[in-house]
Amino acid sequence: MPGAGSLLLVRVSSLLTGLGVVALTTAVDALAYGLAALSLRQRVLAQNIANINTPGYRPAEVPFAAYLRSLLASGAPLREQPLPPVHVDAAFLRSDGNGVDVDAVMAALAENTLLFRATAQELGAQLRRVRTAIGVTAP
Amino acid sequence: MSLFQAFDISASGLTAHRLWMDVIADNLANAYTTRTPGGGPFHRRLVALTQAAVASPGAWEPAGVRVAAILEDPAPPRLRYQPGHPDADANGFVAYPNVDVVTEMVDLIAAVRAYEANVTSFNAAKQIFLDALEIGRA
Repeated sequence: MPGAGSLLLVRVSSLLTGLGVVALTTAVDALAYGLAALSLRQRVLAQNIANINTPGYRPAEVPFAAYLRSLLASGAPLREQPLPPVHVDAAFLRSDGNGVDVDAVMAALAENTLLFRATAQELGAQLRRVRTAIGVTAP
Repeated sequence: MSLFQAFDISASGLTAHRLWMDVIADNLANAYTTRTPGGGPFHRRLVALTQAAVASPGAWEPAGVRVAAILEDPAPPRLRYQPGHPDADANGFVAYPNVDVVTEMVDLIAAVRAYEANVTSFNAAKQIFLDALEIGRA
């Protein structure tokens, strides 16, 4: 389910589709979908970290890159697609049955933050291009 | 379900691990307590953490961690021969709490590190949110 930010983006990209800017909306949709998926991944990583000392906890992951690639290849409209599935890892590392690998999770968290930032900046750049194209100057 | 939920998840981790630190501090403070209101020596306390995942229909929804219970360690007390002690039994043995200071210190390190990890994930979520706010800016 998209949050307020991605709802706004859906509105923006619907508007752009109305204007016939198809290729651009695909890029905007893919970026918006990426942001939604990355924020889900952020929540899942936060859950793994919160349960770092919970006996029997199995870490979860959102392998969204491959999922997004298959969605894009299928050509289906991205803004109608559900978020990627959460994959719960069956392996465990410690004797208490906990499977959280601290180093891997912290690395994934750092990666996720940077990916989100890159995606958000690229989305901002796309929208600025639209603004330039329709002749609206920045406020 | 929103990005703000990441804050709640990290906050639940902070709360749980702070409580664990409190329990460890209590164990250490009472490592030599031979008298309790219930009688006998102090018993080491343990925190039982459990995953707080909401099972929404068809999807796994993360909801952080929660403290299920604070349990007493059933291990027997440590007996030490101290005939002069006021709490010594008929044979001169004093029952000391089943608190092992080294174990508590190791647990304390684990709790502090987990707390720090949760702070990091909280800050990551905050950074992500600030980045999202920048999307509309020129």
